[in-house]
Amino acid sequence: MLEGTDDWAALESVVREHSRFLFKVAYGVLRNSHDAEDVVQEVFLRVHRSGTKDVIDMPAWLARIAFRLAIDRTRKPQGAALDDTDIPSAGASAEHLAIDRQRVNQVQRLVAALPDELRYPLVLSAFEELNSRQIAELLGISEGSVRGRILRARQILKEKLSAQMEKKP
Amino acid sequence: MNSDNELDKLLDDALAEYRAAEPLAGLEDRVLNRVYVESERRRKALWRWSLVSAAAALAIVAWLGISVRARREQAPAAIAQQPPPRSVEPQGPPVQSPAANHAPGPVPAVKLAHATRKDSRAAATLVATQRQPMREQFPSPAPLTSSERVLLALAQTHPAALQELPHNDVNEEIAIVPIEIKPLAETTGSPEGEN
Repeated sequence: MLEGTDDWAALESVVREHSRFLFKVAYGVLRNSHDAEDVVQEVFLRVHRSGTKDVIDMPAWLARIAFRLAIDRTRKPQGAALDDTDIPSAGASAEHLAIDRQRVNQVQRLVAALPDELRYPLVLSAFEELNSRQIAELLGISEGSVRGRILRARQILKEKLSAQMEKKP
Repeated sequence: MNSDNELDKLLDDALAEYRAAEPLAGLEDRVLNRVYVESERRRKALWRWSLVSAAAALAIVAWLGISVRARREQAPAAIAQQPPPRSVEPQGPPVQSPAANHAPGPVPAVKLAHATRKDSRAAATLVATQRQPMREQFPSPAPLTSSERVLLALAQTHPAALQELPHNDVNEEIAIVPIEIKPLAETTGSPEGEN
């Protein structure tokens, strides 16, 4: 357990450096800001209890805890349905405003409908903080499997999107 | 191909939403606050448990001390309340069984002290029921022995005879008559007997 002023300062530093990234990881799984924030708080409570002495790759270690906590939350009945999810307050650039909001939401629904073994690598690959090796460690699979699953997920999404586009020209 | 690029872009934009997800302002402060509150709560709980444990340990020690002291006080009281051993007139050498040799008469104090609490309570109750009135003379007069009774009868019937009886004065000096050893008389027997 972290005790003392120095340890508290170290914890504060870790919190300020990684909490937003962990929020994104949790949000990628949960698609709910409140749940994602709860997960982040739970991550740092655990860090406070266990300490960070033997941690080599801090972002990957924290992301693994956040990801597992988020997965645990999705298995509970309180998990929010896709339709109830909120859209985070993303930095609204001119480019984003130009994109059809409806289509983005549509893609996100399709992503959410993917099986977990494809969805998690795809979502985690969106974070610059995690490379394919770290994602592989986080998911407990090989790096090649990560790449293969990401490609497969993208292929499935493209097929579904093109099919929907053909239906609605 | 154009459609494929368009789909890729659409996918990237959708995934960018994940990347661009931002928490409400002040997430770090809320996290730190919760960690602090939780750690304080745990610390208080730890203190509370420590205090409760210490209090319980003290209570146990105090209870043990009180019970041990009570036992120690009970044991001498039980000994004091024991009736004195009755003197038995000697009527020849008493025949004792081997078991009797190992278990002498009254209950020893050590045994009482080492008895369990239940036993000591029972012993105290037994002693209380057998309590006798305080004696006027100490030490208690014991019944006369047979030789004492004979002597008493003689004194009542023939008081003068008592004067004739030799009485030993402890302070009187003992006169030791010197022993004279006479030389052996010469015998006329054969010298072989001396060998």
